[in-house]
Amino acid sequence: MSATLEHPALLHGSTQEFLDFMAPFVGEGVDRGEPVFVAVGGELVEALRAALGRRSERIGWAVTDAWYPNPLQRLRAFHELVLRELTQGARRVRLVGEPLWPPGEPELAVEWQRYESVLNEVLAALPVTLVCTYDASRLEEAVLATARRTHRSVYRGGERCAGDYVAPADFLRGRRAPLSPVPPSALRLESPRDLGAARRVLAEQALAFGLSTEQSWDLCLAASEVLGNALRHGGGAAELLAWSERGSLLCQIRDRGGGIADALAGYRPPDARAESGRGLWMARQIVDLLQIESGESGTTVRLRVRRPAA
Amino acid sequence: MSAGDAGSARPAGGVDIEMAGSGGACVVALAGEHDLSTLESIRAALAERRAGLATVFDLTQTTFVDSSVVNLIATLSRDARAAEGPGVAVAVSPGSHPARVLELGAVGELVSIHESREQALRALGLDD
Repeated sequence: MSATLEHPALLHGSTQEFLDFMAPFVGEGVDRGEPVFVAVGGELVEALRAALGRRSERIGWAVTDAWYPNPLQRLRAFHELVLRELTQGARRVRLVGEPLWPPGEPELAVEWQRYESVLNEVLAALPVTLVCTYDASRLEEAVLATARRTHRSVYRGGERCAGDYVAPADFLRGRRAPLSPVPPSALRLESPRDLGAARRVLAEQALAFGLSTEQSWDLCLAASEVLGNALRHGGGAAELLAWSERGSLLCQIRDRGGGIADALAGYRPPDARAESGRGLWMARQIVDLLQIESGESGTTVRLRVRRPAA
Repeated sequence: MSAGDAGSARPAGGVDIEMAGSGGACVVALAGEHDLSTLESIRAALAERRAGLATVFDLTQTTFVDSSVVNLIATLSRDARAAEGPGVAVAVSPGSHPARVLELGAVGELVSIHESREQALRALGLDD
């Protein structure tokens, strides 16, 4: 067992196949006294618990739909969980996770795939084994093929199969959800320079659209961070746009700066001692999705926040 | 959607600096909204501190802070610890927007965070 990250994927064709792989894996962790934490679908939680008997009491459990259902929050939660366990004396941590595939949200599905890739970098130096499980009986073959690109090893049908691993920065450059067109009716602020004024305009839109007060705060903070970056590094923001699409409020900020070269910008947790690098990282956590399209002629950052179900 | 009034006046991001803790601490009280655009005024206030005093950032009257303010507080806390000099603490109302931003910034292990100015001063070993 190596001293650094192992991050294999399991493509399980049935609950039994899931158990055949996972029960020995988490059981061994318990027997060795390693901290074990499992966040998978509710049925898989119940099946694995039953298979482990008394040993299940020494495992942390979560249902994946309810445990940080935002990929960036999940990334942070895993990272902080591992650091906490290591601080408390653990030598190695075992994690099991299942990404979410929200129906009718193709952009979010892409973001979960990007999260899978980023994990390889964020947890790289830590003594962790994180097994990600994919329900091969329900997921499209394209999703399973992508899992091969975000995991160094992949198990299917009881066998380890050839991977197709791609370094995170390359994966992120190639795997981006396209930005939908901006409707002509979008609210438009030309050359916004006053952060507070932009926040107030956006807050008004957010509340009128039906976001909660907390969501409105979060959207305004995220937009303010992005606008601040554009004003500092982007040669001034060209415009700020806001509109609604499929039950979400979207906000987009475009600048004419030299672009963001780092494909992982805002994905790496900053060190508590860092003097900067928190803005984009905070923004990614508090909206449902933050997308960046960056090139030589400038950067477009799009924020998306879903309206809560009535 | 119609274009909003982007030119409306904003609540001033005030910075007050006062002595507390029987003269052992300097309280930097931030009122209203603070972001990149008020950072220089916070820095100017900090430059007026007398050397050798502890610092309390009082955010209990603050309605907004962005990551630039978190960065500033984290950097001062880090330097104070490294120098083993006078401490730095933050007072922030639980559940407020600044409390959420500090939590998002994940500076908890570095920055001493308290629910009131009095508690922050006590944590620095000073009376209010």
